[in-house]
Amino acid sequence: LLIFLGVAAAFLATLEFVGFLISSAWFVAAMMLLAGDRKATRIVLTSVIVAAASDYLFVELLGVPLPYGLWSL
Amino acid sequence: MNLWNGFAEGFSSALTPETMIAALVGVILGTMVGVLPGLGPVAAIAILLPITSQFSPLVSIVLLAGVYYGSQYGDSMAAILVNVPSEAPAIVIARDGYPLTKRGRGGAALATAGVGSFIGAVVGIIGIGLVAVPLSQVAIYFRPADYVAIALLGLLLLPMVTGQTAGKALLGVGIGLAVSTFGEDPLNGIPRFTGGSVLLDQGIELVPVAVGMFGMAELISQIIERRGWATPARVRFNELLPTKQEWKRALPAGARGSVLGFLIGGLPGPSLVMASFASHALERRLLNKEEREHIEDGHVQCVAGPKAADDGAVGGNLVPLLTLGIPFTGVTAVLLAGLTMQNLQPGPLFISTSPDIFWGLLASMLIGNVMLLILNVPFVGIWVHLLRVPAGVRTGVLAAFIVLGSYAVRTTILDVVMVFVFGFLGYALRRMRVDRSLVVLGVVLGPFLETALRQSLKLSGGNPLTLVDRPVGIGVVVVLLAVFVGLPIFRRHWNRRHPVVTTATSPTWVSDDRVLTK
Repeated sequence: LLIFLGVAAAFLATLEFVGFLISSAWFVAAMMLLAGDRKATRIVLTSVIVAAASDYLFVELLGVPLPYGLWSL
Repeated sequence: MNLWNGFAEGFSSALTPETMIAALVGVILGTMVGVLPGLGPVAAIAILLPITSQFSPLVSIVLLAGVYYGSQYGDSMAAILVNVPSEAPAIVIARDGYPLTKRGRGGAALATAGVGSFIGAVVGIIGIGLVAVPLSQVAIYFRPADYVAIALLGLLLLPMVTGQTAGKALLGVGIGLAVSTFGEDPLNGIPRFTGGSVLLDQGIELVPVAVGMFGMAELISQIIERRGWATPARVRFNELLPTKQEWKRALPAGARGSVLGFLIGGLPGPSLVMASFASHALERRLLNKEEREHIEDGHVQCVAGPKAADDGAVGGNLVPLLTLGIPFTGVTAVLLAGLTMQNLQPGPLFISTSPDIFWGLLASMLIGNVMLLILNVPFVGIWVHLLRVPAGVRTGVLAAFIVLGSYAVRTTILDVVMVFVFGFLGYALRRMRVDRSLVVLGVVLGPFLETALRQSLKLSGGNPLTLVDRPVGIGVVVVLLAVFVGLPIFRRHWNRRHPVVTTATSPTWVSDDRVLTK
């Protein structure tokens, strides 16, 4: 529970700084690790695909302005 | 407008390409939500609210309702094939469905569950059409005090119908009502409990509360408890056909369950769970001597009946929402939020002012249930593959959609923070076995209850007796007296004459996601 709390705090702290795309990618990877997944390829692929797909869905298709942090400069 | 004219108008609205696509997308998403334990319909609908708010009102509500009744079809698959009920109503399905799978009749159990769901849904939809119109005509004469009386009746009956202690029910509703007081006062617009934060002026959104309480809390518990399940059994198409004898047992059970489910569905609290448990108990009582001797082998009528009751209860659930504008369950509370986001106000005037939406929704539900029957019975093998997705991948995808879905409502980080806050709170309540849908119910009912109560007190010059000086208020008092005074007296007399025999599997109380047995 404490590790999950730490991951949640770190996710919220980095959200505005590095943007949704990157923070959601590492958040997904962290969640998979916490759920007991240990296959590196699967973790990397899932986190990248999920972050990119959700970014595309929300930004391009639904027009939700997600924060891009440093990359929006 | 009579039932047939209503459905005729409804089909003219529902048979458009965009509404049909919305129904199809809704039922597919709903089945996925139902098959995979974790998200649940409350959180799934809440995540979809910001997305559907961009569609037309009918398309939006058709999609959201599709997720709701679609999830009721899906939840029996994991229960039957791997003995993991993804939603509470499926617990009794697992009790008979999994033994059937173990003896090679899993396909028949899935088919009878699908057909049972269909019968229940059709009875529920026709029931809404029959009951909603006269009820809304009566409800036109209701005053704010009457709504307060009905809402209070619902809240006071919750401990009884949820089977929880009064303290636990009060805790759940109390948290919800407290959360609803954050932000601007609904009558005079003065900010309350905002701590000077402009972001909190609009209050705490329902979406992060619902998504946190169900989605995030479930994610936390999956990570901590590392729940797994057996590999699902393979189901071949030719195994799906029940025998003639099984049909003869399952179809009447489906008919009984659907009527029972519709009636129970109108009650406040986890009515879907109550409906499926009541139907299961009834079907077990109706087993013949030979079947009773092999009760642990599982019986198709004990799968079809509860499934029909579960889907019939969905119809019953929608009656108080659409005719009175009062949600009695967590899911209908989120559906109410979806309707108000579209500037639609369910209540007594809803059917007369928006007949195209009301009848269009009912017609689309009929179409959606035909789609579900096709998707769930012959194509059951496709859904079974979902159960083979690794737990890590499921958790990762769920996590991304939970945070993004909550952010998308108001595009503020505060809502993401709230998801985590309510996620931890939801996990704590889950551990305490408090029904979390009561919190969601409290959040939605809070502003409505507060406004109606203050308005009625203002109109009566501050006299609280205004709540009970009209037929509705008097009726509510009579029901409460019957439930809290008459029923215990009757029970005491009954128990004295008929000593109670408890079985090892009799449920003692029902939480939102599990039934505890003594």
